[in-house]
Parts: sequence; structure tokens; C-alpha cells
Amino acid sequence: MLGKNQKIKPEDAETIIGAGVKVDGTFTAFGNVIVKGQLLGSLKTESDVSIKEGGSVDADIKAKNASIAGKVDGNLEVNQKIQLANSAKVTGDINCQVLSIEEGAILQGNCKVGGEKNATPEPEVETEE
Amino acid sequence: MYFYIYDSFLQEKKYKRTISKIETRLATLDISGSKRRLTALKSVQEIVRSLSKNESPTIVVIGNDQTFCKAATAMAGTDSVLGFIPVKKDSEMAKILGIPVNEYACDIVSARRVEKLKFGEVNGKKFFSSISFNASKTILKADQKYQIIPQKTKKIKIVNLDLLRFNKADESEDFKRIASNPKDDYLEILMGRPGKKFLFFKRKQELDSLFFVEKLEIKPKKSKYSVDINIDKGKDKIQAPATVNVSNQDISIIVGKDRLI
Repeated sequence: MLGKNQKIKPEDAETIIGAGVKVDGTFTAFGNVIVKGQLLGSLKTESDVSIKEGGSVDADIKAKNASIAGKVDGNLEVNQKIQLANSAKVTGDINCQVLSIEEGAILQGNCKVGGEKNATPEPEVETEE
Repeated sequence: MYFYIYDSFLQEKKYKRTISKIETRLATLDISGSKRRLTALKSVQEIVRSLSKNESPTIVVIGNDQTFCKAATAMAGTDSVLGFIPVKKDSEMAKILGIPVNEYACDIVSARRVEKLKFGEVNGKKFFSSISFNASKTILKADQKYQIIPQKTKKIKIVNLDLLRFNKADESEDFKRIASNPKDDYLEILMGRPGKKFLFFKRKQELDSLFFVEKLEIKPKKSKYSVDINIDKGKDKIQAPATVNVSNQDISIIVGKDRLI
């Protein structure tokens, strides 16, 4: 019997762009995004992005983590980790905390790995004089 | 006050015993009520509209998913409560709402666990479960931000409340995507290849794309194309171009403990 906890919540939903589908425009998702088809424009999510082998993204990507086995033509701005599989082909600049590249992956662009995380501004404190 | 709407197919002789068991169980639970029968001249919408004029009625459909969905859309925005006693074992609504079939559903009606669920709207016309149409002649514009262009995809289904029979996108992950969520402000778009039957050959439906949208525009790729949008798996159809969104009206439905929503 299927339990009632097996339902979709938008915040943990996974958008899936299948192999026979092309998406064109500003794509903003709730949760993880899996690309097996084609995406043009821009891609933004607060969760993870996974571009499968055969998937193609011609867009700037902003995400928490990115795992790439397909083709990306655009800049990647990732808060944590980027993983490039041996079938990955990335043309664009990369900015992340951790970068893992498998043998055979192609990367053409500038890399900025590690360093300071995107610092959140400290709240202003009012002081009485 | 309980009102029971009997589906037209229940007049067939083979359902006589089932109906008798249901009525006995309803009497045992002390929730018997007034009966209405669907005929060729009396639609479920007409009956529901007339019953909804009573003070806070509980209207229970005894029948199949299509009749239940029609009753639900006719009850939108009223203070009525809708119950369901499915008599077809393959009822998907029964699985989603956690309702057993035949006389066992009477206990769920009696327990009266009520959930408020939303509707989808296509060109202002409500749907409760889903709409579907051919993908090859259409372009979708989602939330005024991006276009979804089907290329090798054949079928598109926009879901408010339905089971999501979905292909695993990644074999390593345990997909828990079983049913849609009809309580949020989003509709699910499923895309893929429809199932096919030809003599002994049978191909399973394969859906491999999933999107969540608040508002969707369905347009034919070329102005000469005609795209029929099928509503709630029934005979009702409308033509694209169409706008799909979540309705601001909801409905109170009696659900079971094992519901998927």
C-alpha cells in the first residue's frame, strides 16, 4: 500500500526536462532540476541541477550543486559543488566551492574554485549616541 | 443530510448485489439518505446543482471516476461535501483519495475525514483531475517566462489531481512521485509518449518530462492546426488556444486514511 507521505511538495519537487522537449526562456524552479533535453535562456534554482548525458543547456546556470554529464554553453555560478562526468562538455566560466572533474571531461573557460562564499550582508545595528 | 447519486451503469443486473451490500452497510452505519439515479435525461451536474440548494448537504457519488469528477466540478464553490463510493476496482480516484471499493467505502463516508481540494481551469471551464492533448501540434508558454516546445513528445497531460505514472529519471533515485498535489497553487505538466494497443501488441505509456506551473498558455504551432483538449478523461473537449490555471474555488471531499494527497 502506498503511504500518504508519497506526495509531491513543491519545495522538494524535481523538474524534469525530458529528452524530447526543448525549453526556451527564463527557467526558475522550486527544487532539483534534471535536464535530459534542451534548455535555452537561463536556469536558476535554489537546489541542485543535473544535466544528463545527451542533455544540452545553452544558458547561464545558478544553483546550489551541479552535476554535469551533458553539454553546457554558459556560465555556472554554483554555491557548493560542481561535478563534471567524463562525458561533460562545458564552455563557460565556473564559480564554485568544490570542483570535481572526471578524466575525459572537456572544460573551456575560467574557473574560480573555493575562496569566500557569497557573504550575506550583516544586519545594520542602530546605536544610540 | 446525505444524498446518494447512483451512476447510470449501476442499473445493469450484475451490480444488483453490490448495490444491495452498499445500502445495507449505509443503513448499519446510520447514514442512509435520499437517492437520485442518473439517466440519459438527467445529468450529474443538474442533480448536484439542485441538491446543493439544501443546507450543507453531503452528496455521495456511487459509480465511476468520470461521474465523480463531473459531480466535483459542479459543486465548486458551494458548502456541500462530496463523498465517493467507487464500484470499479480500477478506480484511480479511489487510490488517490484512499477509498476502498464497494461497501467498504461506506465506512470512509461515515468517518467524514474532509479535505479541501482545488480545481484546474481551462478557458474558465473547471476540471478536477486532468486535461490532455496531442503534443506535436502545440507550444506551451509557462508562467509568462518560458516556452516548452515538444519535439519528439507525443502526449501532454496537465494534472490537478491524478496518479503520476512517471518514468524514473535516474535509476539510482527512489522516486516518490505517486500522486499530484491538488492543495497547492501549481499544476503538474507531464509529457511523453502515450501507450498504444494494436492486436496483441501493447506499448506502455512513457512520460519523461515534469514541470510545475501556475499558469499555462496552450497554442497551436500553426494557426491552421486544430488542437482538441480532452477534459477529465471524458467526452468533454475544448479547442486551443487555451489558458490553464488553478481555480480560486475549492471543494470539500471525504477522504480515507490511506490517501496519497
